[in-house]
Amino acid sequence: MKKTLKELKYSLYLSVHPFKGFWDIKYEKEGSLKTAIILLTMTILVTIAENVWTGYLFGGVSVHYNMLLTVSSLLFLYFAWCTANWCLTCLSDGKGTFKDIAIFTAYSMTPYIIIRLIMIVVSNTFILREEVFYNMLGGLSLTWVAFLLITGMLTTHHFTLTRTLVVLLFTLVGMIVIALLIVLVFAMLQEVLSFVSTVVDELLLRYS
Amino acid sequence: MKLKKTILALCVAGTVLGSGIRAEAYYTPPSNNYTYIYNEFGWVVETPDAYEFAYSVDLRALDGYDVTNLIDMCVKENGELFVLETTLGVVFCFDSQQNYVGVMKEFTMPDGSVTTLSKPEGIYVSEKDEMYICDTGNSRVLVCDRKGNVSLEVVKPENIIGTSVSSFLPIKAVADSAGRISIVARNVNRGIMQFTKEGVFTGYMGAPAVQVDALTKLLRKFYSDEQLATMTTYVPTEYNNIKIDGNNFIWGTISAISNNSVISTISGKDLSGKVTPIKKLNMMGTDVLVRKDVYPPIGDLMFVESPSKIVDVGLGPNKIYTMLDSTQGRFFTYNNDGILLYAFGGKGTAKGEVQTPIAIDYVSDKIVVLDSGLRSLLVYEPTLYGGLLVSAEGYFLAGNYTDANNAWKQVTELNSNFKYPYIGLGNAEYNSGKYEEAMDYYEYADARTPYSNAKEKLRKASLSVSFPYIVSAILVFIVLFVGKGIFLRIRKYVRGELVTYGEEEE
Repeated sequence: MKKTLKELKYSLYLSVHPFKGFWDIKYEKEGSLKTAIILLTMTILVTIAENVWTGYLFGGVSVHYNMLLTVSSLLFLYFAWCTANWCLTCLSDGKGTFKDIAIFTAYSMTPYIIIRLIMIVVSNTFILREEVFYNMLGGLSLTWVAFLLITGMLTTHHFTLTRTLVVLLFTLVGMIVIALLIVLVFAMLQEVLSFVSTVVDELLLRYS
Repeated sequence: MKLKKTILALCVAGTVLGSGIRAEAYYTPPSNNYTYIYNEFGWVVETPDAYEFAYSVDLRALDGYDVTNLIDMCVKENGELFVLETTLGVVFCFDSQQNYVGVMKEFTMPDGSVTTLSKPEGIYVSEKDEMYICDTGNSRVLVCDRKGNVSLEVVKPENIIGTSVSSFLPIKAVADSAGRISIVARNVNRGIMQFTKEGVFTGYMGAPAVQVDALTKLLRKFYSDEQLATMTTYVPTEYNNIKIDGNNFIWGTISAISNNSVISTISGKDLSGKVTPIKKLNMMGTDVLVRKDVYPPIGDLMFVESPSKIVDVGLGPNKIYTMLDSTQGRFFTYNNDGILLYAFGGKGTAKGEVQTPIAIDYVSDKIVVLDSGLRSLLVYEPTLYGGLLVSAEGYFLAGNYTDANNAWKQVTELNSNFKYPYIGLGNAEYNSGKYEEAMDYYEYADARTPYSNAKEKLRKASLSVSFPYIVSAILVFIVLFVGKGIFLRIRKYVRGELVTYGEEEE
């Protein structure tokens, strides 16, 4: 428990000292998969909270909000990213394991969690004239995360910057391919299931 | 009916896909005659009936005349009504209850000679009981009193410039409270012709803009003179009707607008008034019509073949106005801010439906429509719902927010699908300083900007209460933070632990 708290605190340090931070969570035992899972859960919770509690002026309250959609889409993004990244870094001499990738990705979400929480509070006090600051916060959270992801890849896989960027690009393509494959599998599965059910129906009709 | 609708929808979808034009302009409300509004997406929203048909006045065999061709109508403030028949060239007069009182057929010229009208097309009667009759066939406008004694005859001005039209064909005329005359003449496309009280031509006013697309402009640069001669010349669109309100604003309607420009105005939500079937002109000829809704006042936002053709406007109480659409036979009522309050009416043969509506006007809060096809006057009376909407406008304009609030509350009870009364309720609460209630209404109506304003006021109020506490909390924090450091230093000093590097080295 105490260790987890220390690791969570370390994720804050990591956000502002990414090179040392990512090195330490991999080689100096400053981070763990458990903390990564906690951070991932927090990311999901914050996204849900954002959808529910953001002030009316900024995005507003939607009556048709589906919590499960947020959970599933975020989890899908996370695992697709990790898988695609692992596949591509394996091919391009990356030094990180799948576990390492899962950990650094979750740790990179720290600024997102904090800034989005601030944004939820702020969206309930700001007025339209201050919209630009709100949008700035949103942009900041995303760019910070992107920066951390790049640094994390760089440190975890011992890459150069150019290689990191190229692999990043291919990772995004890989994510799309994974999405397509999943859709394909589901479509095929549906076909197979409907075939099986048709056969069963036929048999029932014939022998009953 | 269902099948018919489906087929129509398919046709529409095909047209839309084929032409690449946005879908919203190509859908028609399913029924012909019911009251509706448009929401912020340009979709039809049905509302309770705002006006209902009360009675009609048959003009077919009025006073023994064979009435065939009714052309114009004018209603005075006190409800007296005048109808112009063009083939006979007579003016039928009615009192405020639409009872027939008399006919005007012959007019006495200043020199004592008697004259008649030839194919007149427009009539206007001022509040001072001066009649302005556009005697189109005789190329003149007669100004006379109620007994037919002509005081002025406006003929084709000699100093007229910029037109090749040889004959002067006035079709509509109005006069402001000072007696200055504004005339719309056929084939004169420079705008509304302005005359002094004495009938001297002074100039044009409020010319509608020419509508030529960029490609045509470019191509015309390359065409030879012969080619140009065969092309249609692009002339500014003409006003087809004018009205004047109590503040001397001239309301002009324009029906010669191309379908495409109407569609692009609707889909672009263009509130600039560049393409508009209606203009409210001030003395300088500038369009001052307020367009504050999502869409400009343009009639139907969804239509199948052609957009609304606005041929007349009725200026109602509390600054509302009703445009008359001759293609669908509908009446569109807008308020002072250009918000569509209700649209109703339709062509047909059922009771209360019109065939060829040509003129519309208000008799107090009743709507009177002149139908040349039915050869009768149709009178519509406000229902509870319509009456509430109209009176709320008046209360709000007069700054009587309590009564406006009550009226709008009742409107929302009758129709909860109309945003505007909720915004009105919000405004009323806002003006009486109840910002939280106002915010609730604004949120319900999805009006972000006023919501934001109310929130700002609320925040300011709460900040002025909590600001001293926040500042003192920060001060205490700073004092404690700094004080702790000083305290520690002093303690160290007292205990003799405070050593500088210099001392240490000694």
